[in-house]
Amino acid sequence: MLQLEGLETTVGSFRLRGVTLTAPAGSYGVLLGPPGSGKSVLVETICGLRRATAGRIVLGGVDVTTLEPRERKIGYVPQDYVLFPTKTVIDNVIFGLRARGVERDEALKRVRKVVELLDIEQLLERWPRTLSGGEQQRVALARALAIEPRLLLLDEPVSALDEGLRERVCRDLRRFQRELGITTIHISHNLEEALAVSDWAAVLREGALLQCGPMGDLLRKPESEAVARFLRAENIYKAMAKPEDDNESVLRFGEHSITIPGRHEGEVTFMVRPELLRVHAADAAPGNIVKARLVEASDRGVYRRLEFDAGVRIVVFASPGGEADLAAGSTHAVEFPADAVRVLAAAAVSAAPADAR
Amino acid sequence: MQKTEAPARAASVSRFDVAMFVMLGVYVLFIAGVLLADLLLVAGTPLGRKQLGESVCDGYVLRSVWLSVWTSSVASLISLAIAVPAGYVLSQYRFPFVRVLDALVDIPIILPPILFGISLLVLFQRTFIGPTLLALGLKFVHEPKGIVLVQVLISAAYGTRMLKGAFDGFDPRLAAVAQTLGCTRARAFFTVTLPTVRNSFVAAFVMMWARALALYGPIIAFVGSTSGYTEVMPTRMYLEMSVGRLEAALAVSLMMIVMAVIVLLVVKLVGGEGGDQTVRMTRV
Repeated sequence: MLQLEGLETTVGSFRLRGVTLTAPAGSYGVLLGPPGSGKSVLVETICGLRRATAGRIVLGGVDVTTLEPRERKIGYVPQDYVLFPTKTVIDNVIFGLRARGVERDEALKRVRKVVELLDIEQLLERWPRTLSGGEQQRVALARALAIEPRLLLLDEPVSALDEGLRERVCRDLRRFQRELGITTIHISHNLEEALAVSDWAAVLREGALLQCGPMGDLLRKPESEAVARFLRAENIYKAMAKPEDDNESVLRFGEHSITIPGRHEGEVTFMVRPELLRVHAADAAPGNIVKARLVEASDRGVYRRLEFDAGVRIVVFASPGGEADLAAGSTHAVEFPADAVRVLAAAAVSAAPADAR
Repeated sequence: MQKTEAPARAASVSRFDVAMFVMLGVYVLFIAGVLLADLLLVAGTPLGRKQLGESVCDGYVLRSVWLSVWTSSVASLISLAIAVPAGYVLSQYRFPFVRVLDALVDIPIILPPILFGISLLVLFQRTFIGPTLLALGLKFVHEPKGIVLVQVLISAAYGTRMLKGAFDGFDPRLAAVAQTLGCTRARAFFTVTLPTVRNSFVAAFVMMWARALALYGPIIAFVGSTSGYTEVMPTRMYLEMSVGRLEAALAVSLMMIVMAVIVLLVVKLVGGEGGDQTVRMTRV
């Protein structure tokens, strides 16, 4: 298990701001965030390549914050893999064991399992420059796994690969991780990657951890506008909130108003997931209705994507064939179910503690 | 740098290609012409052959050859020990005044060599440095040790400049990964960083050796030229020229050329082909 407690570091003008996170033993986590959010800096600090200016890194119950990188026993696969160009594949793979004083023959024996698991037997005598991107990745992974690390850190492990290869390689990564049962953290800025491999994910922005949890929770219940926007949520609106009483508030956005549970006051940002919105005939009159003109309807196979204009843009994912007369230009009543509306925290980053469990 | 296959050329040769080859050709012809003129004057005339024979057997000349070889070799090794860390620091570390230090390293390259020798003489004879070192039993002025000192101070600047360029192309993540795998910083440097810039390392050694071998002005200024004691090949050549023995000077020059060619060939054989492995992994 990896625990980060208020971890901070500074790189030039960039600051990692009190990152608190727990990665359960044997889990596969993904650190998400836009470029420049501090994902690589965080991973390098966990490895010991950057000095933490505050906070603690606890790995398997041991505080490793001040240990040298070589003493942490963390497997690190940098972006682009960074294989040693003057060594053959096998010498890359056994490098860590040799650096730890293991004799060459013994090292060759000890890496056999990893070599077989990653299917790189046929590459062992080759030079890194002759390998394809996928092969380089497997060799870099074998090199990191050969030291039997307590934690595996993968910095954008598939970003250097062709689009077509990424999904398969992500599945392979997940399979290797399950077979070895090693706690793994994978850096990515790609949502699909996180969905494909993660037990949990964390979103970083401007050096602060915004939210952490299972990927489904992040998608369904983003806590802040920043997380919602990063996860490409549709239907995010600014509104003025006015409490009706302690249990209900009215949100006014554009020319529309809806009533939601809870007490909210002043300017708020809220979101509604597209699959939770309902489309009715224009003259329907349930509560929380917004009259909107259908701009575009596209069939996505398992659902239809409907885009409405109501002064604000509204996107609805509807079941195919559910609603009749969904011609472009037609007017409809879009219902915002009160329990589907989620009020978000302001866009400013916060350093709230997060726990992946 | 990794060599790459030249793209297939169209059958026609453009003016651009011709211009490139002409510039290279003219330069190479000049160098070959200079060498050939020396060779013809020494080997192609009875006087030249006589002088070459005498020079090869002359005890003073042979001592100057030996002095040049050992001082250049020792100076190159010491220069390498300076240039490797100096080039690494200037390339990989960021700290205040790094640019100032970088510029200072270029001083021995920019200054006229004889001025550097004179300045060194002033430092040793007009400041406390010389007497202090003398008190410690270290005498440099007018001593073979002084030749090594001059050679080191000038050659190391060339080596530092060359190795800084090599380290600039080095991906520091290679050393970082080595540390996570179990290396100390020093071990990562010696097992990953240096092998990656191996060819620049060898090339820097050769260049420093050649530079040390060819130094003349600062050695005359700082050490002088005592036959059989502090006379190196370039100073011998100059003295032969100054008394009008052109063929004798060229005979020594020919010996230097042969030595330089031998060293270059040995280094090529030992160092192998290809450039440094500093090219970052490309996205595939």
